[in-house]
Amino acid sequence: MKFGGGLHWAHVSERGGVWGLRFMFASYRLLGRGVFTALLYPVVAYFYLTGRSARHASHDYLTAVRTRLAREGRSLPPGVNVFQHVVAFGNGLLDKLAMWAGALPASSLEFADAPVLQQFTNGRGVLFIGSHHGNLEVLRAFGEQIQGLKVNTLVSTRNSQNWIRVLKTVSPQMLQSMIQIDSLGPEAVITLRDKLAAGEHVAILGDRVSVKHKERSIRAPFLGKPAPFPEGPFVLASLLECPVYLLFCLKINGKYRVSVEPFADPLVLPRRERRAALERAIVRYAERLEAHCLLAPMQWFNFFDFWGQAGGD
Amino acid sequence: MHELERELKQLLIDVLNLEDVSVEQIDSQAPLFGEGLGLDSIDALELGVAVRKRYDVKIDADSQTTREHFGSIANLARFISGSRAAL
Repeated sequence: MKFGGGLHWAHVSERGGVWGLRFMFASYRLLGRGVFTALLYPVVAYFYLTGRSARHASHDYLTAVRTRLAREGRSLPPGVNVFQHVVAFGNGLLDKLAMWAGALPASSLEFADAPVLQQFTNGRGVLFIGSHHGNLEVLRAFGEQIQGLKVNTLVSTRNSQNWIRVLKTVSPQMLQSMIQIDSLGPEAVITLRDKLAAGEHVAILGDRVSVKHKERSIRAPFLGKPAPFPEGPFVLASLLECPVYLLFCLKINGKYRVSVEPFADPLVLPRRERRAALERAIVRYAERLEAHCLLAPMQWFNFFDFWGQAGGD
Repeated sequence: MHELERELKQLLIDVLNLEDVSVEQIDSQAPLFGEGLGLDSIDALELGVAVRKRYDVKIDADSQTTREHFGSIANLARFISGSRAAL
């Protein structure tokens, strides 16, 4: 989850440095959620007013959702606008903070559908492909709640340095479940295969194109326009030769609801028609992501030009 | 070295399911990727994983030297025997 505008999402430096994040963790623990929520509106207002490109990105996205819904004779739910979208982002960030700081008040977060994840507590590991829609951080909280559920999240080393440095001091145990990956190489594949063999799971986000490998993306229809999606997660899926699930986690009426959709078991990209198979997988992913965006439009946390991120357009 | 090259060619065929290619048909000096056998980056990764497992050599994900090591069967054989000698 990242807030900021700019050209490519990864060019946007995380707003607020390491000390800012540390300060936030410390105050969250000290003051609790109530004070933070009270502070949320002024902070959101500030970001709303200063984050011009993020505002534009949200506007473009919500317009695309509206157009898409109109095709089915539906309209956006009342109260859906750019400002509320930013508020939703702020709230998501607070939840994320709470989870990372281990200050997860049972009252503010409830997990519906926890049994869904129970089925993954024994047997072989699977690959979850998630997105920046909803809040996947709650998986970590699940991991702590559900015995035997271990999920390793793949994160890009380059783009979360600040978070990683803060986590080192704030929550080293969280860091253990993160696998930093910059490029997909044989070592990484072998490490992950070992984890799967041990019954641990791997989670990766499927909706952000790598900065380093912009050319490794495929455009798929998304809310009416083709958007670039990374090939990496799907290539990884095929190399891991494990069951693949799409993972969504939406906040509905204050409760986090996890949904897991079987995607492939395993994902096969036959070399003779690899490109076409890869494209089919990405198109399917984009379709499911779109469906969730229509379901909960404001839980989309990609505040950058999603349709233009790969090229110079 | 010759034996290792032969072994690598067989590994390549097995890992990538190159059913219509025989060991004799693969030129040790020919480029593996792009032209030549026409292998792509996913093939490269699969081969990398297999080589790493079989020969226990450390492979950097993203370096120019790795690209050179995997440039041809001859390069790969040299890399593996070099790594073994270093142990």
